[in-house]
Amino acid sequence: MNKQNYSSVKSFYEWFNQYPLFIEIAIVIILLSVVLFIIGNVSLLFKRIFDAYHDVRIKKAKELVTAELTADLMMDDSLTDHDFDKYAIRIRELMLKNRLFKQVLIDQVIFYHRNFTDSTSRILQKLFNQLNLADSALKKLKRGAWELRAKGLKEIQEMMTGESNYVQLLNPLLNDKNNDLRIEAQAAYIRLHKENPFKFLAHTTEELLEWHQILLCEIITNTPNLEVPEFRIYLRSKNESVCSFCIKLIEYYQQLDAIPDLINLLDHPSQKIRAAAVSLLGKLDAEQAERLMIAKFPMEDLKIQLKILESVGEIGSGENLTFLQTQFLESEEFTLVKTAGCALVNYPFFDKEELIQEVNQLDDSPLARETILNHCTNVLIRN
Amino acid sequence: MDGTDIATRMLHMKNKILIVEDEFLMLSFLRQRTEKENFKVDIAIDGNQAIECIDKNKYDCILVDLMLPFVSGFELIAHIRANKQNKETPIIVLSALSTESTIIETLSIGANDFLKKPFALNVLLTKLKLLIGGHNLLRTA
Amino acid sequence: MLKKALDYLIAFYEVFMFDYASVLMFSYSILVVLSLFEIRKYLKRKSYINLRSILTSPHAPGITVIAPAYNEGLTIINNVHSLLSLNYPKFEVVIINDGSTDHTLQKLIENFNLVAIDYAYNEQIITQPVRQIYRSGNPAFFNLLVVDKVNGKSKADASNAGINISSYPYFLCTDVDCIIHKDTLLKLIKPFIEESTKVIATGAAIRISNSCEIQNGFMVKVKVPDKFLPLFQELEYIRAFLLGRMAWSKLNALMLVSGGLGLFDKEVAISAGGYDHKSFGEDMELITRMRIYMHDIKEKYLVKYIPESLCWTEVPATLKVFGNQRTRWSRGLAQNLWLHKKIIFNPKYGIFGMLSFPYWLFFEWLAPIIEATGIIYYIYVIVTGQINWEYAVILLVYVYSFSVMITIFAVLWDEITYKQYGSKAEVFKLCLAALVEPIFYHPLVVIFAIKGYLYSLTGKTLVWGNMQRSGFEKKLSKKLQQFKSNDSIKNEK
Repeated sequence: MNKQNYSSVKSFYEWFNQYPLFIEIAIVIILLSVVLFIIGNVSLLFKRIFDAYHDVRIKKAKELVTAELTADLMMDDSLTDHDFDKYAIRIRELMLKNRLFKQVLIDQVIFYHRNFTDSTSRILQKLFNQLNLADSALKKLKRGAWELRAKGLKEIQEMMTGESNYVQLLNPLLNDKNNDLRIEAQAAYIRLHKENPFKFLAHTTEELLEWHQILLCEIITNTPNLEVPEFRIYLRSKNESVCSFCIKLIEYYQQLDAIPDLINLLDHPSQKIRAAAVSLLGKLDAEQAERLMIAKFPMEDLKIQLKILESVGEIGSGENLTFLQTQFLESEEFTLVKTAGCALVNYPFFDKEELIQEVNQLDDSPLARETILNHCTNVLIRN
Repeated sequence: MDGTDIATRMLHMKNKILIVEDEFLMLSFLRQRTEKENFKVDIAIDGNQAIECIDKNKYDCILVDLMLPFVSGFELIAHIRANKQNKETPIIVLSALSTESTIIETLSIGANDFLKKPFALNVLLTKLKLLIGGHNLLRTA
Repeated sequence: MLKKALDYLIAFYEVFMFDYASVLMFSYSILVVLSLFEIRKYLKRKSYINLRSILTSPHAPGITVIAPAYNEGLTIINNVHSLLSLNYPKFEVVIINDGSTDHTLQKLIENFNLVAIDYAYNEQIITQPVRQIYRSGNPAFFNLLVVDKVNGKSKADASNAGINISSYPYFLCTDVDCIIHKDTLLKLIKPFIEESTKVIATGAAIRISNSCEIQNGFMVKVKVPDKFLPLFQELEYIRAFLLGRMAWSKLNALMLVSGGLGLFDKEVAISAGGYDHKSFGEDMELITRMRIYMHDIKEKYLVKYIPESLCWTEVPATLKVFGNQRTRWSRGLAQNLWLHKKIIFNPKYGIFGMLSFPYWLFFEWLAPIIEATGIIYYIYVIVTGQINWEYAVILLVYVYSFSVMITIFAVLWDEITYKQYGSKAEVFKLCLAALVEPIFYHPLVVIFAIKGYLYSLTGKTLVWGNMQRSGFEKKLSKKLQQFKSNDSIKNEK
């Protein structure tokens, strides 16, 4: 038997050897392609079969868990401890069926917890604690795969708010090289740390990307009873992204005390930071910043100039009508004229007719200033 | 006419509401919870289904999510306001999308109230009862 | 003497052909592996990330959706509704009526309660004149803007008008007749906000809607095309997007974001000059110019692709229309390569100049020519009786089996990223099609490509204006004329 095999291999080899090199290469590639073709098709088939099986299981698990959660537990606001225990035992039984059920349960508890506050979320929190679901989340943190650790962190963020004793688990992850993991760890830190949830900001060296800032803002603004610090202390951070992040938070919490620090930022080397500072000063109605902004106006680049016009308009102190009108009438840059026009619309003491008259006295400018002014006052146009 | 009298009658009448929400978990829970409060509940998982329901039935209140497949929440609200039998129906918007401009936009199109997700269920139920029956229904229920 | 020279030439040609084919195959194999890495990374991140965070954030960057329309009266209303219901916290929809001769504009005005407004329009990119700008009087459509302009005989010109009027820092370029996934904006904006390097454009996979169930401008059920021509094109699209684009994206050497669906940084696009209305492949041309611009100002940048199918478009189902489309694409490619020839092997343009541009030249542009001459060569040796049939067959099988294998893997990657089709049967229909595609479909692609090159040599004008389109109208279903504005997915084979 073996011999026969050997001889057939040998004869194949002889057959193969008779060809020149390029044909040999071609034959090898053909054989390889055929094998890969078969593997590809078989994987397609198996993937389909496996997915179909998995889908059925997941669907069943989801249905059972939803039914169990919503039928009694979340239905009653005045649940007695006795009733709660009774339902919790039933849910535990379901959970112990297998890993899939457990994960589905965790996901759904988190889903409802995220969408409801007060009594509903309290009951879910109680259930989470009773069933020791935190163990599952913490276990994920110890796994190797980063995406699993990130998922564990998400669970911790949602369900373990204020449990400061787990904070040290997060410390090694706070400066992780993996962007996604690091940010989830920082978000979890904010949720868990009771006294000083923003302490990590002082030490973080990695950039907080725009997406990360969005994620953290969401976490921060959805955390009840969060200890909110004065974010102005981070405005001097060497990490530019921390600075721009704190500008966003100052805006959200309307921290008017930060205005002097924001004014300092008008000299910041980064254009992005300057723009954000100008914009926020406008939103905070910082009249005391107007003079400096206007003084800086001629030296600044176009992007900041636009922001300054917007902010002056927003502050609306009534003292800079001439400044805005001058920009509107004399600037040759379309966007400047338009922004000045829009800033003027709601400005105190602004007289549209008068300005239009002045526009008409100007020599023919290629910019249709009257149209621009009409554009700005049109209620159907919002930008 | 006594206020409590109307309220009791309304309780027996079973108010009909429509819940439009594309997230199945949310929808099934809201449905069960409102049915328990003695509402007659229709559900729609997308904009088209919602429009179908609105064109067919008159509702006492409609709960709308803003992010819907097929027809956006904004358009749906506009559609309800243009619909003959439902143009007066109170609308409560339930949405995670909650920037200032979105809230202003929805209210100016014709929604009566806006609840930002996450919200407290009892607040929703209270608003629902208030919008449907005024204070009387709330007091008796 | 002449005979001898010819023999040498033939000998050289044989070696060249074989080497060329082998290098090409080798590069495909690398693309397959690279794309797998990129797709895996993407799926891992997707597994736990919730896009709702962007949806609810006040800091999400604004996006303008730009959709040019030319004589789309039948479908325009549904399609605009579908664009308006995209999931995103801050966006506007700009429809450009590119001088339609039908009732497109009237329908828009009636259905959306449009009011003509005095809009201060800033013409940063020169286009055909804008006649009028409309906004809806109904507050439910507060984010709709309709621009009526004089027909510019190209999608580029219309898109430019849209870019001029857009008020947000990013714009999505699409076609009115494309069916777009409702999370498109969320998914496409993500690379822009999660990379520390500046991202200038992102794209996603485009698929074929010919046999899909579509209701009022919304996708109800995705299906594999029934007819042969669209079926083969579906294979081609899957291969191009899931293998080619993903791999190039990983290398940051992507040269094309399709006109059917692409999100761009407005500032860079305007600085680069916007779409070129004279180009036959304006989408590829724009990316090329944006890249050149970024290299010129010496700023690091990325062009990203995401391996998700977010857009479905109708493709030509008849040979004539298909031929016209492909001729146009290959012409666009030739034009683009010629126009920007200074980039080739210019180290100043980094990987773009050293790798992707040469790749497009040698493997995308040249391949049809090599193939065509190969066939001529085969015919020659058969006629002169010099053919070694055994070798000839082995070499044919070599190319054939490899290309089928690659296609199967593309289908597999597609299944891994997202199960588009409801049933196993549909997937295996694709696999069967993959077996016959190289025999029946590929030669067509080659022929039309060569035709395109010939046209660009002779400068024959291929008018994509109104005349030709109304010519189709008599014979074809309404929708099919719309490929004029098509995404040129010039395929990575």
